[in-house]
Amino acid sequence: MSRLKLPHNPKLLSHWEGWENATVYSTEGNSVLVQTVDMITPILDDPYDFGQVVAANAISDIYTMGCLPELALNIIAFPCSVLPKVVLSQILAGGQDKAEEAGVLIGGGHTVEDDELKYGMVVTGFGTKDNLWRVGGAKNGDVLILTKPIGTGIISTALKAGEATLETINIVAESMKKLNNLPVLLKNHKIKINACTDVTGFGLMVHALSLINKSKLGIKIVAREIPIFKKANELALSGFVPGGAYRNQEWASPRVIINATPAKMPFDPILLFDPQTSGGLLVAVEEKNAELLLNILKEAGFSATSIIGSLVVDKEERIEII
Amino acid sequence: MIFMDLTGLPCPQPVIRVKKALEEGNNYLEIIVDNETALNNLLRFASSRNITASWMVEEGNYKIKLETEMKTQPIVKDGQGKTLFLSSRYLGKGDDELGELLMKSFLNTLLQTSSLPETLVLMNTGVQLACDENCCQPLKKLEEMGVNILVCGTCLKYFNLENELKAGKISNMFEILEYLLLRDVTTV
Repeated sequence: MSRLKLPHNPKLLSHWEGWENATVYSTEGNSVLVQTVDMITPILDDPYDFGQVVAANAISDIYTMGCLPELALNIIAFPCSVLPKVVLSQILAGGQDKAEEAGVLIGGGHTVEDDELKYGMVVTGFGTKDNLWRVGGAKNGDVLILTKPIGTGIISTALKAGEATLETINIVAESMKKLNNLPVLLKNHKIKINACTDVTGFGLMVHALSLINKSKLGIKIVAREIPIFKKANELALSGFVPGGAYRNQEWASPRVIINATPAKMPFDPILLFDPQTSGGLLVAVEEKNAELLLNILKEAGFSATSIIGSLVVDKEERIEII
Repeated sequence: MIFMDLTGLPCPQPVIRVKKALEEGNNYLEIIVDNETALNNLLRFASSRNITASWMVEEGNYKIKLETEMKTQPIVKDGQGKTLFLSSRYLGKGDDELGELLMKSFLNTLLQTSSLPETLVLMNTGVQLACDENCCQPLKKLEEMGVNILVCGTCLKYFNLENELKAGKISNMFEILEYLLLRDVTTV
């Protein structure tokens, strides 16, 4: 990437450098246009469910910026000679239905033939400059809230191995299909979100580190408060860990200090690094707002939502797990 | 010992293959994988199952040795914690006359063993043993020797034997299930 020129334009408020979840482009006055693209390989057997997960996953990046998604385009790589066309139409129906739930119009798309199925979306949303949620912006003393359990990478690896039960798969599928529509939920509430990201491919630890990048802050996380999918730990211990988890661990571990005894951390530490698909939001808010926000999220069906830690001063910008 | 070349296989295939090989009864495996994820996952798998594992880099690949303990059944020294489940007054199926004789002999022999069970559960026609003049004798003695005898109340009611119980105490499905689920159970 170092050979690429950084884009410079006063209208471009965020771009690929740094940890922002979407590109923000200033339009008129206070208004901004946000855009994101995301594409994944199948993680569920059911094509309609997979389509829904793709849409929820792609749209999430707009929500993490505090903006509302409005328009999307499909991008598909499809092995025409291997899979029947009906699979494609089921996937796209899933994507469309989920987009519709989010109030997003799918205007079109592009399909290429490929050996391996992939489906993604380009999503466009709108917001305002003074109400943008950025990845940086957490303050000392803020609490950190996670809205969905972790473990989707491990469970989908076990699914590929035929080692995940239907019950486990259904729970994870429901979670991945759930829209991270926090900006919609907060429309009538005055809760200031200091920082926000979603937990996706880099796993909980790397995404948490992104919140404290260049902030001289650290995060104290209480291991027991981290919501984890049932069976994810057992499957991790059995060796169903995706390669991405090890890469995330290697990258993040110099800045992740585990000071929790096994009793306080009753799970395999690799879960902290497990790549998530359509994972939850990781939100930093002032402590006084935490309970209200927690209640709003729980009422909206984010039943596993939990305050997992808090922001502290640390010039080394580390995470301590206690 | 079996040798498995699992190079070129994407995750989670190596774990699946190794799991299968172990389930087929192989106690010693030598495995080659070509990526760190497979190595890490196999070591995880091994340590979660108390399998001894060692590995080394060989020609750019990872060579892993897995060794399982030979399975040995623990020998119960005495009947401590053991539950015997009798769901019939006959021992075994086939000839009932023989079955009744065998049951008598079974209970009398049990009296003479040094490893008495902790609990005896009687269900279905098994409850008739505790009401029968002849069979209740060894049961009474077992009870005196400290064996906890549980007799299914529903079964007694069904056979109209509620007032005929000569050994053991009336129990319910809830208590009986607890013994069947949490103890070392042998069904007779």
